[in-house]
Amino acid sequence: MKAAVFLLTTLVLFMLAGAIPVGGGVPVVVFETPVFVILLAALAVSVVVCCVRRKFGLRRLGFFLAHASVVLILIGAFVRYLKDQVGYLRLPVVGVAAGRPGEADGIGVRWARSREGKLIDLGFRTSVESFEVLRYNPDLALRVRKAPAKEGRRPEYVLERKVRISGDGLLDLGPCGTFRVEQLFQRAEVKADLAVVERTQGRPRGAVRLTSKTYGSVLLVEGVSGLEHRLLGPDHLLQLLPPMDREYRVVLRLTDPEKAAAERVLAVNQPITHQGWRLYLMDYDRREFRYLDLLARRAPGRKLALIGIIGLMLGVAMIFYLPKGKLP
Amino acid sequence: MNEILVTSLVGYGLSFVVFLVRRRKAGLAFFVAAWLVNATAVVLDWSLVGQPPFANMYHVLVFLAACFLPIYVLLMILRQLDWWSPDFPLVAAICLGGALMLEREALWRLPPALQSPWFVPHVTTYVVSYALAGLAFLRTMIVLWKRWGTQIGDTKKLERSSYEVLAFGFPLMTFGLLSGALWAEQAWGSYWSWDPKETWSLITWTLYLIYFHCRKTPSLRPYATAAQLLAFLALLTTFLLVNLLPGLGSTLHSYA
Repeated sequence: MKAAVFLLTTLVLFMLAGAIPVGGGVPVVVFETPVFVILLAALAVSVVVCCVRRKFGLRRLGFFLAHASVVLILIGAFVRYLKDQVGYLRLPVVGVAAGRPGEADGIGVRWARSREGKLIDLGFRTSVESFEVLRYNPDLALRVRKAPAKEGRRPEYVLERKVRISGDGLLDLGPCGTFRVEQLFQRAEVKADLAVVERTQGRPRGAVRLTSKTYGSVLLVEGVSGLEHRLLGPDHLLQLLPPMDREYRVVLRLTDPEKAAAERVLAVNQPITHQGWRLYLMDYDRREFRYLDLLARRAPGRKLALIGIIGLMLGVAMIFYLPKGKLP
Repeated sequence: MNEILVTSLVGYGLSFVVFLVRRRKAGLAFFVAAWLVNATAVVLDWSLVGQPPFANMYHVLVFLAACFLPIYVLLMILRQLDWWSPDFPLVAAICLGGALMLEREALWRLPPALQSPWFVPHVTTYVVSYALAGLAFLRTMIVLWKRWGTQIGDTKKLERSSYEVLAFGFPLMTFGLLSGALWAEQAWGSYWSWDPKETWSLITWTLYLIYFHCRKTPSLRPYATAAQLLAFLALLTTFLLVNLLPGLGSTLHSYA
C-alpha cells in the first residue's frame, strides 16, 4: 500500500508538471517521455503484486475487478503507445483533384497523412457520396443604443438580450412589441423547429450539386456576414445571428480493392470501423463546403482499454456501494 | 430568474441558521421550500434552452445547488448519517451565490460534439460527486478547526462522516471520469488527450485515490486529511480555474 501511495503521489507530481502552463502553453510532452511510461509500468507492477498478495474471494470481487481493470487500461495504453497509427484525411466534397497520394485521385482518397507528414496507406479508398449540415434556426440579438451618437459617427448598440424565435414563428421583443419574423426579415421564411439544411451530393467524378438551397441558405449567408439587421425605432436594433450547427453527417463511399464499394454514414460521435481503421468526422470547410476533415486511427489497445474502463467503473462501485458481508 | 435564485438562496440560508439552533423540523421545512424554488429555476433553465441545463457555469451551479436535498435524503436512507444537516443548505447557498455572480447566457444550442448519450450521465455524475466532495471538505475543515481548538471529543464522528460522503461520491467521480474517456474515444478518436481539463480531473481523482489508500494504511492515516484537502483544491482547479484562467485554458473542453 505504501508503494502504491508513493507511486500515485509521484504520478500526481508528474501530471502537475504537464498541467501547469509554461510559456503560454501546457507542456503535455511530459506524458510522452520514457520516464512517465516507466512510472506507469511500475504502477501496473505494483497493482499486480498487490492483487497476488491478497487471497481471491468473492467478497473481494470489487477489489480484484478494479485493480485488474487498472492493469488492463495501462496495458491498452502501452500497446497504443507502441502501435498506434493516426492519419488525417482531407476529403474533397467539391471537384476532384489529380491522382497524387494524399489527395483525391478520381475514385477516392487512399492515403492519409500522419502528424509528422508521412503518408499512410489505408488499404481502401474513401470518397464523399453526400454531405449534409443541419443548423438550428438562428437566434437574434436585441441591441439598445448606448448613447446619442456624436455628429458624423455611427451610433453604438450594446447587447440587451438574445431572442429566440418561438415555436409559432413569433419574436417577443419586450417593449418593442411582438413580431412575426417575416415582418422584419422578409426573405427569411423561418419555420418552427425546422433546422436550416445545407446538403451537397457529390459524384465520383464531377462537381457537386447543391440540392437544397432554400430559405436556409439565405439565412446562413446573411447571418454569417453579420449585416442582416433591422432598426426598431430610434433606440433598438435587431440583429440576425449566425445559425449554429446542429448536426453534420456524411455518406462515405468506401472502396476496397477488387470488392464492391460500400456506403457508410459517418457523423460526429458516430465513428465507423473499416478494415481495422476507425474513421472519425472531425470538421468541414465552413465557408464553402469544399472538403471534410477525417481522422483515421488504428489503435490495437483500444478494446483492452475499453474492457478496463468498464471493469474499473464496476469494480469501484462494488467496493464502495456493496455493503461488506453482503457481496455475492 | 434573479428573484427566484435570491428567494432560494435566502431559504437555504434560513434553513442553515435554523438547523444550527437545532430546530431540525423547521430547518428541513426551509430546506425543502428553498429546494422547490431552486428546482423551479432548473426547470425554467431547461425549458429555455430546450436541453438539460449544463450549458455554462451558471447552469451547472444552479443544478449543483439543487443536488443537495436529494443527496441528503439518499444519505439519510442509505447511510443513516443524520448529524450533519446544516452543511447541506450551506453549500447549496454557496453554489447559488456563485451562480448569482455569474453572467447568464440564457439561450444556448447543443453543438454536435455534445450530442451524445454520454452527455447527461457524464455531467450529472460529475456534478453530484463534486457536491459530495464539497460537503466532505466542509466536514474536514470543521474537524481541523475543532482540533485546532483542542476539541478532540467529537471529531472522530465528523471525520467518519467526511469519509462516508466521499465513499459515496468517489464511484460517481470515477464514472464521470471514465464515461468522459469513452465519450472522447467516440468523438475525437482517443480515450485520453492530456487536455488541461482531463489532466486536472485525473489529478483530482488520483488525489482522492491516495486519500482512500492512506485511510486504509494505519501508518499513512495522518496524511489522509492532507490528501483530501489537496484533492479538493485540484477539484476547484478542474471545475473553475481551468475555464477561468486563460493560461490553463482547455481547447477540447471549451464549452465545459
